[in-house]
Amino acid sequence: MNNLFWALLLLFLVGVLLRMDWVYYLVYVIGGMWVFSHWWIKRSVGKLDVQRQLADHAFLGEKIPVEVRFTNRSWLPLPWLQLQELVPLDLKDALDYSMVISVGSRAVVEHDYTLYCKRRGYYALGPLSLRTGDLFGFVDTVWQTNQIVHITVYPQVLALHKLGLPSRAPFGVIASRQRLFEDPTRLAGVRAYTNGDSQRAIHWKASAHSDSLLVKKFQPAIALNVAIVLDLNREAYPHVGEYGLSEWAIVIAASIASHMVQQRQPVGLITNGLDVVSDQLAAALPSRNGQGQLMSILSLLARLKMHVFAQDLATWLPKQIAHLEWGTTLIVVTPQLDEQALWVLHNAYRRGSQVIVLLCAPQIDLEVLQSRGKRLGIAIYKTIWEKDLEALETLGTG
Amino acid sequence: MVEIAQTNKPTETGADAKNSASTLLERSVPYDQPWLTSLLRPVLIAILVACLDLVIMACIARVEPALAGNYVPTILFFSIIAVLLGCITTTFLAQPAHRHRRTPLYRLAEVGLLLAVIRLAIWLVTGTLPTPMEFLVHPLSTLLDGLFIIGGLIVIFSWMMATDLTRDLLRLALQADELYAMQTDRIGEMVRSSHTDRPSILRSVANRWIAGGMLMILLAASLRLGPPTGNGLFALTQQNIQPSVIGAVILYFLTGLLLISQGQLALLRSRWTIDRVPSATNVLRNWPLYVLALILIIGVGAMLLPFGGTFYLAQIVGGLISLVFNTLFGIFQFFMMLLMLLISLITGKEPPPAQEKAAPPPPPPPVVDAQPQVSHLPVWAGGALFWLIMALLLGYAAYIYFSGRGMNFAWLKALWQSLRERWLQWFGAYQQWQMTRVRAAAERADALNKAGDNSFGSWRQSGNLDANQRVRYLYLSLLHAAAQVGLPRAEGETPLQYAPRLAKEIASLHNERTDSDRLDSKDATGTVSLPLREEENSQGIEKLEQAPETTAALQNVQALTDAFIQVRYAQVPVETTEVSRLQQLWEQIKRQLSL
Repeated sequence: MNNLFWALLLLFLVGVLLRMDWVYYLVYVIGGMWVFSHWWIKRSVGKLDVQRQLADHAFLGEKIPVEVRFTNRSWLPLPWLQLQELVPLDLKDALDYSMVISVGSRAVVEHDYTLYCKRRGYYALGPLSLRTGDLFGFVDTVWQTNQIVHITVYPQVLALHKLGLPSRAPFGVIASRQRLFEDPTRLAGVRAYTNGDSQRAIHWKASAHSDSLLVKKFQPAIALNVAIVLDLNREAYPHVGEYGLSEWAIVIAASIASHMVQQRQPVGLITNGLDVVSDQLAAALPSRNGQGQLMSILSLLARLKMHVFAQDLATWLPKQIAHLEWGTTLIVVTPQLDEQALWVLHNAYRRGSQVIVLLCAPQIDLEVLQSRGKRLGIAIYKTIWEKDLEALETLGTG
Repeated sequence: MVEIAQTNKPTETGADAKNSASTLLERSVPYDQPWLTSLLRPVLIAILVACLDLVIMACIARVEPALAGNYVPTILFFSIIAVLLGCITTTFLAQPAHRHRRTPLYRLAEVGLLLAVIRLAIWLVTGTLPTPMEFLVHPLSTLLDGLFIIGGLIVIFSWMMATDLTRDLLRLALQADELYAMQTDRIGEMVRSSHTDRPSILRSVANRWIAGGMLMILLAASLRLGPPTGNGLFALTQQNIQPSVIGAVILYFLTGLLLISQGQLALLRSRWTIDRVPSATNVLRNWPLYVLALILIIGVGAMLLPFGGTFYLAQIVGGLISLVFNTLFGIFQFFMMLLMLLISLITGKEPPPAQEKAAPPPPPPPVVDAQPQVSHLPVWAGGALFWLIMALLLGYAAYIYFSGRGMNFAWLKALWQSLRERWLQWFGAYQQWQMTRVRAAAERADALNKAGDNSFGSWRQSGNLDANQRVRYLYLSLLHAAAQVGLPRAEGETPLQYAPRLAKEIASLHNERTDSDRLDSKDATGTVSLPLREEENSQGIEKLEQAPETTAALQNVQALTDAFIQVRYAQVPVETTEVSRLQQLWEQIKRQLSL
């Protein structure tokens, strides 16, 4: 429409030189359209607010409804607005996330769509590309919103019995004769106050009732911490199917963590995988209990990525488990276990940890390894695919 | 977003296999029916071109006020009709079911009918309907008078502009291949469609709109009688230009904006559809409302702005333009002066003396008027033939055009069939009578031939021939005689090609007869002649060609042929003495032919 400018100039000159004043009207109208269209679009774009509303986390297989709200704070409408959402492939529920809408003056228009979480991960949704223009083709504006939303898709969580692991010992709270650890939630009775007792332990109601200071007695218990060790070193996985096997390892780790939290046991995560957010080795999560801990573990598992790590499990693991509490149950999820790693785990066993190894990839001479691990105090299970889980379930129940 | 309609043309009556196949094909091809059947576009184009016509007609009325009465409104009316017709027909032909009618002949028929109607209307409106005798005697001048030519040009211009605009805007629609590609496209199976440069088409439409607007303003400027007499809002009515013209120009520009907006919508709509971007329904619904509201607001707002008081501005702009022009011209003059000075310094020669004026050319010889050829046909015959041809052409055009619009011409076909049968009956009877007559004449001629009479004899005896005719007669006699002895001139053979061949054959014939006479005389003495071998035969022919009989025959035939060519083709008159010599040559040839 560059010709319009020259046409306007020509009209103006004709009006001036031929003294045809009414031609000015045409100049005003056409020029006004041109100027107004530019101003209109610029102003409307400046007065347009775009907001996305969606849940930033979901479990695998869930659909996330997304609502994009366009608020036009201007009195001028936007005749057409083409929006193009940049959606990761693993979240796509439709072929294309484009739409053309019209936003009226001082109106709010909502555009809804859904995301389908087909794979665990940490995804960036956006930016939202927008395009608009005037009614005559004078102006065509394209811009992007800077608002990028990150969505965490948690890994799949299976019920524990499907893993075929024993569902009693060593999990759960075990009563202990050692009174080193008293559980303040398990009240066992009261006794007379003696010098040195903590004031927080005084049972004030009972003291008031008996008119003498009485102190609560707690039932002694040992809270067995669980530390999950997840091996995501690419070198440890077989080349064929490494991606599927690593994902399966993450599913196993997530399922154990979920089960532990359901049992109100503290659980932590130690992994050599790469955190995609920081692009560094993921930091270990110390053992804690509660849903918050579970969400932390699942979020970390969602963000993890397999990578090539210089140290193998036998080299890397001792430093990570050196500070674990006595009695911590160590569940190692790894695709392979060699002699060196077996001895490292044996050392952990000797320090008071219970060690369980879950092999998530085929292992040569598994029976030999299992018998050797049994002698060294290490329980080794094969958990490659779901049919193995079913077999383990039978074994566990038998 | 876009309703992709399949064509649903009902099958023709008595649909044969071809029609059924084409109908099936049409039904399987998607078309952008919502855009093709839109009414707003033709209306806008009609308003646009009608405004342009109004200004042109105002100019004509300004030049010739006598035409302002009935002629101008009539042409304006028919221009609008032509515009509507052009838009509707172009849209009609864009429909997939009428694809086969998209031919130049169809459009020509449309224009022809339009012109015929305009011709009639101008005759009736201006009261210049010629008398039947004028129709027949001066057909061209009655048909092609100035009023019709001007009116016809304006109407055709309007029709062409409307057709072009409609065609371009139709090209903005989603094309069949694009819709087909969109419908059948699957992942990994891309169907490519031809690319349509829609922004370029829209720019072309906008350029034409601007050019038309400029033309209108310049035409309107030519209508001014004097300077404007007022300022402000009401200065519009004080421009000494007809308010209708100013209104037409303004309406033209506003309508053009609406049309471009529609084109922009079509462009966006096509892009969204091709990119598979769904659009909300209110986008298309609100579009015309937004455009109208915007034009209304800007139009009303522009009315409140000042119009007058531009005289000083005109002086300033004019002064600036003059200054620029004078500056440039001064620079040019300066450099030209430097150049001339340099040339004069280099050459250093005085300018050559002025050449004397050449003598005035002699006056042209007086042109002798050619004698008018007297025709045996009546004076009205040419005119009648002209109008007959015109009527046939118009009838054919009407048949093509209206049959395309679904009009049934069965009655006309029946009438034509009846007339044809009647004509064949009459013509058959005439042919039979003619054959009887010819056969009788042939029988009479045969009887005369049998009696020994020939045509050349009768021709010679029919009257005294002049020298030229005698030469022709002698040559034709030669041909006749040669044909009688089995040496006719071949078809396509020129006289000059025929002459040496005939001479050689005559000499050969003469020699054969001489040899035969000799053999006959030797047979009488008891000698036997043996056939010649091939080599001897060819040697004999060569000898024959060089024989004096051959040379003499060649000379005689060549002389007669040359004389005929001079008379027949060069139109050179021949002397009587030469005819006598040719007569003697002909006698010699006759002897050689033994006639």
